[in-house]
Amino acid sequence: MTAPSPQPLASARVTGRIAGLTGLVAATVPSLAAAVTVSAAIWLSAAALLALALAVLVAAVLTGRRCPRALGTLAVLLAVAGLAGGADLAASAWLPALHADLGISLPLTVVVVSGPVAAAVLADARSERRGRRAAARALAAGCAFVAGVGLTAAAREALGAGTITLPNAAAGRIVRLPAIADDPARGLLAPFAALIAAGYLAGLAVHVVRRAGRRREAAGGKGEAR
Amino acid sequence: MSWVGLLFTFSLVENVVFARMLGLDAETGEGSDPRRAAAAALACGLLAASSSAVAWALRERVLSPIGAAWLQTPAIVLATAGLASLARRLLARLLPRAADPFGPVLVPSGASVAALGTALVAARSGFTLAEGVVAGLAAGGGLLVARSILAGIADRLAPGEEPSPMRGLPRALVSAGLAALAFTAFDRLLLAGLVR
Repeated sequence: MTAPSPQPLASARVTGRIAGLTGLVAATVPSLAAAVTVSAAIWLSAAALLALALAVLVAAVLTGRRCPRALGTLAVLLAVAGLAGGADLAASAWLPALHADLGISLPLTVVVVSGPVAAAVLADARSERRGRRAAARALAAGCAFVAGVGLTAAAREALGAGTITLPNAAAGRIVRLPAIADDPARGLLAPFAALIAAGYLAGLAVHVVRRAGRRREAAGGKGEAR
Repeated sequence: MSWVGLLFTFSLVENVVFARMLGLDAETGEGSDPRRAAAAALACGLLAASSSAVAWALRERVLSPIGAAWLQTPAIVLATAGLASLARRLLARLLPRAADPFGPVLVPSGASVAALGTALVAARSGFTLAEGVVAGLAAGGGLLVARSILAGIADRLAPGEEPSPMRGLPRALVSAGLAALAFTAFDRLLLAGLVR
């Protein structure tokens, strides 16, 4: 019996990226339930970005000071729980309509999106460029969240209600789309549409990651041949 | 709401997966093992029920008397994470495979997220201790129904029937969306007719 050949480094990297992407998609899905307008998606994205920045900052500082991992986990959890409560209170005080629309999605988004990224930062044992890698992780997760939730919400609102709701201080400003507003596909506002859209977006993202990996592998092979 | 109404609402009408979009994780798309589905549902039900109970106790006995009811949301987050971590540690020693559905503290599993969502809903709806516990257990039942349906769909799909980028979680999400469309039949009007 022959021993299995070791997986090429590029393929292993692609597999790792796809695993990370799958985790990120799973963390984004709960937010999609409430993201039925562009305005809701923007506020959820703002909360997610703030949570990511805070959690990664706390995790990076504690990792830099070589604190025990359990202490880092507890500190990140306290920071995230505090931010979840703060975001919930701020929304109920200043944007009550939005608070009612988002429901439990606001605190859930803060907790679910930031946790895995902070855990990855805490688990990063390599000391060189740790801060830069933590920032890159937070930025990538934030961009993926904003793009995924924003695109899905925009498509659902435009096709399902025939409007685009822009965020405003007091209440959303509604832009009517004349071609669709008279006969919108209202079913797209239901959760099933978001689940299907998330599934296809995730499949597309996996396809793009794999293709990029294959191209890199091919470019590496050509370089070695030269 | 009556007890039957509460059970129907949290298991079917407001199903954690098909209506609230909670309880799906990377593991959901991996396979069609019914034991995993049952373990996740049991973990979710017990965690949601205990989180709702702890959240109620904290709200009614600690936070409200000192005028700090506004700390309810962080208290629920910390209580759920703490209970999940405790269960994971205890089970890791006694039954290592049963500890998996709880997930690490900062990387909550689908079951933990569903439990947190249910505890938040119970707190916002002002449920009593018993109502919160029943809602949590019903949410676990809902997760069992949803995961069983998704496992059944995965089982019936022959290998290579879907395009390779759709394997795993993407396929599970699309399947969940289609099942959620069927679950729209369990609407509030039907429930009102059944429970009246």
